[in-house]
Formats: sequence, C-alpha cells, structure tokens
Amino acid sequence: MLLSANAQADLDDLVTLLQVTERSCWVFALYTHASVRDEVKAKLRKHLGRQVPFHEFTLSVKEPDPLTFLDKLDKQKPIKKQKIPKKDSAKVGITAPASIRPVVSLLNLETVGPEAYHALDYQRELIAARGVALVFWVTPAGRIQAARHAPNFWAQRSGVFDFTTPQQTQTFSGEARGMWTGPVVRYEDAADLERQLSLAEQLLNDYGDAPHAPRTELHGKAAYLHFIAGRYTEAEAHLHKQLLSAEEHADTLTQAWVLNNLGQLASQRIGPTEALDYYERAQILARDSSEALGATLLNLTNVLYGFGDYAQAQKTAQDALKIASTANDLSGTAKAHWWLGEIEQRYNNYSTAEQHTQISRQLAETLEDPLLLTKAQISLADLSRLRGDYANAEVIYRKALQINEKLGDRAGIAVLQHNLALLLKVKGDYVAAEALYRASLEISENLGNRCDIATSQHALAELAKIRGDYATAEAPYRASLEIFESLGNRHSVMMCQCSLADLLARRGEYNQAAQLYQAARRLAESLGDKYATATILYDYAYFLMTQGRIDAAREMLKRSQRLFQQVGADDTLVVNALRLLNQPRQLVMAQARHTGYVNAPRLKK
Amino acid sequence: MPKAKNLTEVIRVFDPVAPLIGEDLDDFYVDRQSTALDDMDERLTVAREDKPIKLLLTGQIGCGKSTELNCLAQRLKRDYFVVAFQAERVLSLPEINYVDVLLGMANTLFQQVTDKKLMPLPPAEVLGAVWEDVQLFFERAVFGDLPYKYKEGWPAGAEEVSAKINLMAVELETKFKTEGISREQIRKNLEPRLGELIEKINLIADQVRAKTHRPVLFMVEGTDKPDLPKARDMFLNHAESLTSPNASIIYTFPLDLRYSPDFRPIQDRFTETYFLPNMRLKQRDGSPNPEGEKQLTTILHNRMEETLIDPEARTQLIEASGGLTRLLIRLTQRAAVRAHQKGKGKKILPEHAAVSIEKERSDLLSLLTEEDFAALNAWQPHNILSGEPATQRLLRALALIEYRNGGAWCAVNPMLRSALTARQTPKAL
Repeated sequence: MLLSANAQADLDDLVTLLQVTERSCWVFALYTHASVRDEVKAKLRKHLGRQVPFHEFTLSVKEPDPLTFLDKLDKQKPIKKQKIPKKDSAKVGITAPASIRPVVSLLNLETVGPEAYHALDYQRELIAARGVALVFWVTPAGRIQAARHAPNFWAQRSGVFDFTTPQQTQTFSGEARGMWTGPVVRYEDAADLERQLSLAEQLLNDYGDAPHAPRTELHGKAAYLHFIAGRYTEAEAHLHKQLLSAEEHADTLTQAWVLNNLGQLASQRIGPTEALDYYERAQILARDSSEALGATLLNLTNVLYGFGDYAQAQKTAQDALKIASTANDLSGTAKAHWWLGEIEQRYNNYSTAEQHTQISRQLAETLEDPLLLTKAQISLADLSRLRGDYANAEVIYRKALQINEKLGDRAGIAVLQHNLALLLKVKGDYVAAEALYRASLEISENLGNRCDIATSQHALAELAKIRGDYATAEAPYRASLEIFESLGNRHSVMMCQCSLADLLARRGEYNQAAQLYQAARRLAESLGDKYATATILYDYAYFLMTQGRIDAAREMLKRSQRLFQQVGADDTLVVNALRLLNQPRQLVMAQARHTGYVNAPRLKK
Repeated sequence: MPKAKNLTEVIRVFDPVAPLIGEDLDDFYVDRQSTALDDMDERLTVAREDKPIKLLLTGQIGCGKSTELNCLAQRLKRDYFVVAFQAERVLSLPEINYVDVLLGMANTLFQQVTDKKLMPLPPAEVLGAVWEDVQLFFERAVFGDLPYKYKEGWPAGAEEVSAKINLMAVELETKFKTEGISREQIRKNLEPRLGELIEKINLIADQVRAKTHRPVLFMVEGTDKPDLPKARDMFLNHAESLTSPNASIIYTFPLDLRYSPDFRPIQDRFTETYFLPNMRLKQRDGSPNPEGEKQLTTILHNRMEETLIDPEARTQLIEASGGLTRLLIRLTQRAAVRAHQKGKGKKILPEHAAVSIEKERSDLLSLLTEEDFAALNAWQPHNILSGEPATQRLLRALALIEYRNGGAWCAVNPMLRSALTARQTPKAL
C-alpha cells in the first residue's frame, strides 16, 4: 500500500514523537479505512522497533475504560520502562530517551459511546500518571466526538495524525466539457460573451437567406456561447438549425461537428446514453476527416468513461491519439492526452496520469486554448489532491475558479466548487465543504445537469457519513443512486450501491446492505471491471466478517485476491485481511465491526 | 528537565500533558503578570492572620490553571500548609458530589499529615486522642459495615495511630476510586454525618496550624470538570458545605457556570472568584500588545535555546496560539517533530510551524457548525460574553479565546481567521 505524501509524513512524525517523548502522552490517529489503519499500525510497530513494547486493546461496551486495560496489562506484565540499547538509538537518529515507554494502541473508541469518552475525560490525570503512550484510532467523526465529549482529555493531546485516504469520488460530468468540437470562440469575460452572443443573434436575423457558410458558423458560435453560459435550450436550438443547414448543403463535415456537439449537450444534461446515438452518427460522417474522427472518438471515450468502462475508454482514446498524431492535429493530441490522464487517474496510476496531463497542458499553452489549459491544470490539481498535496491543489483550484468566474462559465464554477469542497473535506472543514457542495449543486440544478446533481448529492451524503450523521446521509445517497440509474451510468450506480451498503451496514440494516453489495458486485462483473469487482468483494468480505461469517469472508477475499493479481494490483490489504481471519471469531467480528464496513481503498493498479 | 539544546529535547520538554511542577516550575515558569495569581496571593497572605477564605478559580481549558496553582503553592508554602487535592485522581468525576469532594479533601489532609516523609514530626505523637477520634470516625462513619483491609488487624509497623490513619486513608482512596458499590455505601454512610467529617477536617487543620504555625490551604483541582448539572448541584446547592471547613480553599470552577444566571448566588457564598485570562497578543481595539508577545516568547526561550527556532517560525507559532499556553506548547512540539524529520534535526523553520498550525486548524475546523461560523463572523470584541449555549460552545472549542483588561472580552481564535476570510469568497460567486 502506498501512503500519500502527507500520510507518510504524519507516520514519520508519529514515530518520532513516540520514540522521543518519555512521559505519558496520547495522540489520535485518523483513518477512513480499516485496512489502511491496520497497515499503518503494522508500519508504526515496525518503525518503533522491537524494543518498544506495543500493546493493543479493543474497547467495548462492557469495557469502555482504557484504564481497565492498563490495569490488566499491569497484572500480566507490569508496565516498566526499559533501557534503550545504544545501537538502536543510533539507528533511529535521535538522542535516545533514558528508557522506553510502552505504546498502547486503542481501537473502537467511537463505537463504544459516551462512557468511553467520559472515562477518558474524567480520568486523564490517572492516565497521565501511568507513563504510557496511547494511540487512539478514530475516524473523522470520532475526532469530533472526542473533542466534544472528552474536551479536557482532547485538550491535552499531543497531536492528531492523519491517515485518511482520499475517497474515489463520482466524476463531475462538467469536468468533461471543453471537448466542444469545431472552432473555438474566444471571449474576454462574461460581458464579452453576452456582447458576442447578441451580435451573433443580430447577424443571424439580418442575414435571413444569407449563404450557408456564415449562417452555419454563426449558429455554431451562438450555440457554443449559450452552452458556456448554461443556456442549454438555446444552445440546442442553434445546433439543430446549424445541422439543418449543413444537411441542406450536404456538408458532411459540419454535420459531424454538430452531431458531436449535440452529443456533448445531451451528455451534459442527461447522461452518456443519450449522447451515444449522436456520436455514432457523427462517426460515420467523420470518416473522411481525421480531425473530426479523432474528436468523435474522444467523445465516445467520454461516454465509455461515463459508463465506467475504463478499459474500452482507454482503447478509444489511444485510437484518437494515434489519428491526431498522424494528422499532426495538436488540439486533438492535447485532448486525447487529457482523456488518457483522466483514465489513468481512475486507475490510481498517478505518475502516468501526470505525464499525459502535462503533455496536454503544454500543448494547450502552445495552442493558447484557455479552456483546455484550465482543464489540464485542474486535472493536475486533482492529482495533487489525490497525492495529498492539498496546498498546491487549492492554489490551482482557486486560480481556475477566478478564471471561470471571469468567463461566466457556470458549469466550470460548479466543477471547481465541487473540487474545492473535496479539499476542504480532507482538511476537516466540513462546514465550508458542505456550503461549497451545496453551491455547486445549486448551479447544476439551475443548469439541469442531472449527472452533476447526482454527483453533488453523493458528495453531500459522503460528507454526512464522515461526520457520523447517518440519518442525513441516506436521502442524498438514494437520490444520487436514482439519478444514476435513470442515466444508465452503471459505474456510478455501482459506486452508489457500495456507499449505501456501507451506510446501511453501519446502521445495522444488514439484509439491505448485503443485497446492495451483491448488486454492486453483479454490476461490476457485467461491466467486466475486474478491479472494481475485486474491490467490492473485499468490502463485502469485511461486511461478512462483522457478521461472524468467517468462511464466506475467506472465500470472498480469495476471489478478490485472484482478481487483484489478474489486473496486476497490489494485494497487500487482502493478505492482511486473510491474516486477520486466523484470529478468534469474536476478535475478527470486533475488529471488522469497528470499521469493516468502510469501503476498501481503491488499490494501486 | 533541563532547557532543550536540540530538537529531540524540544519534543520532550514541550509536553502538553503535564503542568509545570517541581524543578520544571523553577526552570520554565514565566510570570504572566496575571492579576489573578497576585490577587489570590495577596488575599491569602492577608487571610493567614485572619479567618480562612474560600476562592473560586476559573479559566478556559489549557489556559494554565494547574501550573498557576502549582506556582501559588510554591509561593505560599512558607505561609500555608498546602494540601493539593486532585479530584480527578481520586474521585469518579461522572458521579461526583459535594460529599465526595469533602471526603477527598479530608482524606488527602489526613494522608499528608500522617505521611512521615512529609511530616517528620507529625502532631500524632502529642495528639493521640485526636487521631483516635479520627480513626473511630473512619471505622464507624466512613467504612461502617464495609469490609476493609485492616479490619481484622494492623500490619507490623502500624503501632502508631497516625500510621493507622495513613493506611486507612490510602485504603479509602483505593476503594473510592475503584469500587462503585463501596463508593455508594460510603456516600450513604457519610451524608447524614457530614457535619462530623467537617469537624474532623477542622480538628486536624487546627492542630496543623497550632503545631506548624501554618494554616491549611486546600487547592482543589478537577472540580471544574463535571458536567453543568453536577457542578451546579455542588456549587449552588451545597456551597455551604463546601465552604464550611475551617481552612482556606481554592476550588477550580467550571467556565460554563460562571456565565450562567446561577453564578450570582454562587458568587455570594464564596469570598472571591478569579478568572485566569489568556495572554494577550492584541488589545481589545486590535492594536498589538508587545508585553503579551514578550511573555509567550519567554515561554519558548525558557524551554529551549533560541537558536533552535527561526524567528519567523516563532512568530507564527505565537500568533497561532492566541495566547493559550498549552496550545503554544503543543504547536511547538509538533513543529519540532516535523523539523526533526525534514530539517535534519537542526531548527524549527517556518514551514514546520506552518504544518503544525495547519494540523491544529484542521482539528478546530472539524468541530464547528454552520451556526458557529455565522456567530464567529459576526463576533466583535465588544460583544458581551453570555451563558448562551452557542457562545459557551465556542469558548469550550477554543474558537473564541477569552482575555481580560478592562473587563472580559473575547476574540476569534487567530487560526480561524483565514477560514473565515475564505468563507466570504464563495458568497460572492
């Protein structure tokens, strides 16, 4: 498993703190995935070395008090500070403490309830007197609970160490814009957009039965500007007039462009299925123009990507890249690289994704195409975010947001609000994240972008879940699932099913959760997505572990492992989970119940 | 602990858990020139020759109450026989009541007076009758029918009554701390005989005064921790009992209760209430307060060599702390941890301070609700502090930091400023 740069730095910090300090101390370790937590724990143990006694306790309703565990530990083997060997202190590169203090890892704090927090808050002096280092593993919701219900204990923490893993998020369809085919319309700002639009409308009125070429061009221009301004009905009307004019004059190339743009519009407003018909018609008409053919293939990539068929999307984008490169079509090449970057990002292949996106960015600079340049920069910012470099991501997002505001690009604003909210969520600023998600949702609702509405709803549900507000999370999950189902976006349906299953499992609605996990698995299999299937099987195995169904869980994990191996993915987490199954059943259930429901991270392929 | 000479030592010395005590207090304490400490000192010095006084001490979490009390104990140790009672160590705070507190105080007093290490010449030798009286009280009123270790006989070496008292006091502490049933029974036994318990405290306190020429001063910590209903019951409904012992007492007092309407009647029962303010980096009008910055800088430089922190990093950490000492300690420790990783163990640089501040900010932000942000956005230093739950929640979360000069006032935690500014941007979209 690869930790993000930030998580790795936090792990190093934690190791240093635990190695260096001598007196009692306690820290909170944040995580979102049980398997990542276990992996970090193993690394922590390894880095601390064998000299440091490492103990682990799982708190429970029956035994909510950490002191009970420390007492037990005392009885088993009195907590004694040990002398640190000289050679080990030299190895870790620190001035060694006079003695080694035990480290106690505590699980399950937040699921025990208020008793555990009260025990901590009221007994902090006693805990402080024990001469141990305590590491409490909590989710972000647990952090909030600890601060609220054990304020005095919380106030004395030595720190919070962040091992949360970025969640795979639904794709905002607005991100795929800018693939408008045909000539790019340049404008300065929102006012300039309106001025040019007004001029185009006036000219169209004046021209009447003017020649085909300028009329077609003006309809195309007006459609593009309306599209950017989020006035889709007007954009569609102009595109149909443009198409009619092109058909009357047997202008097949223009017809191909227009059909592509109608597809874009349909994809944006309704979903990829509706766009498919337009693109297939365009593909036939574009066969004589490599530029148009390449553009059509990229739009088909968009559809396949929307369906979650990344393998096919990748193949189509590669075909488009080949055509564009052969024809020396720089714009097509830049767009193809952009798409390949997006697909690699989905596979968590961040360095390959970055290579593609950088090429796209450089070409966009050469072409002076502001929309494509912004898109490439946003993708690079997404990569920074996924790698944990939040500061860099935020700078780029905010800069791009300013540009989009200036350009009056409402869908673009919605995208950036959404992405900034993702960042704020990671930083723990849930209130600001929610406000931005809602602002983004409002724009998408005004624009009628159903796919983006569903994405925002999903994000709001995720946010509620992370804050521990399970009651609030259900409605937006279901709304999101319903929209994605109606759009035929099967990959997103699959993701929603997993998220909802996780929520229901946390709420104890096990039957419904099991049904959803099964449905998601069937969908992933039908998509031929081995990677997603493996991930869902892993999630489902954890769910089965919470039920004490050890044999079934083992079977699922083995199937998951086979699939991960087939696609060349790291299967460390599955190996760890299989190892956990060798523990006594009650312990497996307790461990899995603590956080087992959380989705498996999207492992590196 | 000696002053830190390298980053490893900085990580050790900057410990957010332990208040300063003993040698650390001598080495690291910075006189914050808090009028609260000086006023309490003065008041208690005067009271030494007069009748005992009962004080309340309050302040925000992490403002340094424990360290200030330790400092006060140090200052007054020649004038007073200081009995430091930490309720958290002995009592079960979720179910604490006034009986527990008084019993805990009595028990600590008895232990301290009968501990030969602390009192090489205990008054026991000359006051056998008094100790026998206390022993009987323990046996009959405190333990009653409850079994206890020495019911059937005393161990060797416990021939003296004072030694027996000491053993019983230790036994009582253990029982009270760990056995719920015993705790309940002891409370039942004691409640109707509370007057007798206070009488025993007074008896011993008077003896201590007579033999050591120092009156007893109880410093009771942890009484600010119980939830509001329990704290209200103790300080409002049983203030008379809490103020009955014939000794001076300082109780720590919950901040929430100070701003509730119940505070006025409570205030009337105690001699004085002191608030320990945070160190001010700014004046109420927003102008800088160099004195505050100097004090916080001294806190850092007393604990580590100046060369271990870049001046810019130091300023960053001090500003982010908002004058909360424990926060400054934690921020510095985390920055040192990061510097240890990234800076090859030489010095805390601005980028290390920035990481530390960002981590702390993230914790703070995650606690706040939309209403909290609205309240913080609208907050002005001239706003009157109230017991309103929203304001109290912000004070508890340390989103608001309380200061004193010319009355109580609050400022928004400086770490939240950028988040509040950023929030105004989306609105303009």
